Amino acid sequence: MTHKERDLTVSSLARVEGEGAMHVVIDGTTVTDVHVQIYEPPRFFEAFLRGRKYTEPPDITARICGICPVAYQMSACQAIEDACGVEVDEPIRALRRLLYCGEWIESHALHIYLLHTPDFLGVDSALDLARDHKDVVERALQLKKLGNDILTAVGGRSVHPVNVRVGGFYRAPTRRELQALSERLKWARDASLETVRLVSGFHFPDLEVKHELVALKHPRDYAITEGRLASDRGLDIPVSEFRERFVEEHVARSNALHGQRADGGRYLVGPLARYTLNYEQLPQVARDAATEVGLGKECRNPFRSIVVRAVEMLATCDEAIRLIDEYEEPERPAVPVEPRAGVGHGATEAPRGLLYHRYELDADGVIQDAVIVPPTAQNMGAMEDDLRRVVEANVTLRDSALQHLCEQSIRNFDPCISCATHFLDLRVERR
Amino acid sequence: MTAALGGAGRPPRVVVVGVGNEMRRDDGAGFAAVERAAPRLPAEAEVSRCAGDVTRLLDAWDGADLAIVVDAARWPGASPGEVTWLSDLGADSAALATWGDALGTHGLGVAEVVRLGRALGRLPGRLDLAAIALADAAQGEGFSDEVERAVDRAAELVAEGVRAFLEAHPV
Repeated sequence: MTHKERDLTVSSLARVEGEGAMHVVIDGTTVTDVHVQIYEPPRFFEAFLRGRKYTEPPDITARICGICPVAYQMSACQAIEDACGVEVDEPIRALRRLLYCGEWIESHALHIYLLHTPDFLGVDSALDLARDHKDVVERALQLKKLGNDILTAVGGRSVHPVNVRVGGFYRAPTRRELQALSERLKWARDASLETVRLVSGFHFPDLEVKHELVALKHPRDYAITEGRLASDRGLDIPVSEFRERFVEEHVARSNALHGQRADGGRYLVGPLARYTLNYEQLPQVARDAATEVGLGKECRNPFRSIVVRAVEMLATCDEAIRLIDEYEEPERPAVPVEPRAGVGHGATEAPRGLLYHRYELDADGVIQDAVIVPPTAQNMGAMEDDLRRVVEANVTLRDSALQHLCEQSIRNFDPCISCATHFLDLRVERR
Repeated sequence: MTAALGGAGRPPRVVVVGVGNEMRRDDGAGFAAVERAAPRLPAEAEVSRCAGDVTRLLDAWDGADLAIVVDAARWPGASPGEVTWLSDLGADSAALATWGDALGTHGLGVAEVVRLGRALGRLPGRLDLAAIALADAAQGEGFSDEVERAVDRAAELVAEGVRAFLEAHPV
């Protein structure tokens, strides 16, 4: 390898949610710098939540992302209810979980099939995939549509749901409305199993995550809507202690804050962490599928995150069927929530990982302070680290192959830069 | 030339969809254009919005005889506020060949979804696209002056496009 300087640019890093840049510097065979550069203006949601009423965050924060609005709504509701000292009824909890299942099905189907699978099948895009594997893309679109339809049935519409409020819902769906989804969910469960089988047959480069894996953990449920903060290194704390253990650091080159542990180490949120920490809470059908394809009880290879997402999609389809089977229309669609001065914390598992909200209210319920920590911001450090290791292990690859591998590495995280701001553009500089 | 559509005496199904993000300034122009066009459309015309994941367009126009999509975008050589009308994209596979993805924070853009629909055989009977060249897609609401005027122009084109189609395809 000579020390000839090379500068490679990919004008747009496709199939991620948003815009930004990634810069890799290689000096000979040594990777000297890897960084993610977020160049879109920072999002001022936290600032413009100040001074708003305590009832508004579910609608305002839903606008942060068109792919995972429910995650924002659920974390916001939970935090506000925590601040106001309110616990919702069990039927409302179940309905929230069903709504969240819809978002997971839609988001995972989108990422697995339309954004990530092209990497593994050696095609450039979902369009190429549609030409050669029409049935696969049709399956993806049907799964996505089902996810959308769950959001519409429970949330009032498929994007930025309007039926969610602090304390519950404006209107509870009827049993009949939800049962109409059951047969399609049974199809979706089968389709998800086929998805697990399909994606587990892909070729996965070797890579093992070294970071602490952090996710919600619940004693009974595969953690989506609630739980304690847990890690593979023994962390077990309430959500209210999130900011004592995890901090956000402003990185000058980026408009997104980078999350790290308070002691300086990096950590990873998302499917690998969820799966590794919550395998035992998966429904039997999902554990059986994982066993069938040899996934094991833990997964630390980010390239295999596509298999974990498929197992999670199967689990959420199964969970949604159960929730609909057991659904009884609640006596009231929402519990009353009266404002009071205080601080509240909320955390749920967005499809991409842990999403934390914190609100400080005054006695009239006016928001004095808001903190939102999206999963992609938390994963920025891990994303850079993975990229460095991938480049180091493959530094002799031709530029085009190396760039493709870098892009694939980034897509492993399903980054939602529209949450953490935006992201596109990959530059590899060889010196 | 006129031709009956719809079948069994039903009127043609017309779908008008605005695409975009109303919290990204000019990127909300698609929504505004279809809403301003709506009062001038026949009551049966279905007017909707598509935000976030635009593969939802495949469902929005499913079974339509005519679908008109309005989106704000950037394309080579366009001046802010320019409105371009692309007709019958199902028949003209070259129409979007030089287009990149529409501005967006989602995985696929409108042009890609049109190509995807073509590959899957999931385009409506006729698909027209009104593209508004945007000037400012920063955070916030409200349009630039150029795009504010373009929204009215696009709304007129949508209303005219629907009227002409229905005249050509009487019940």
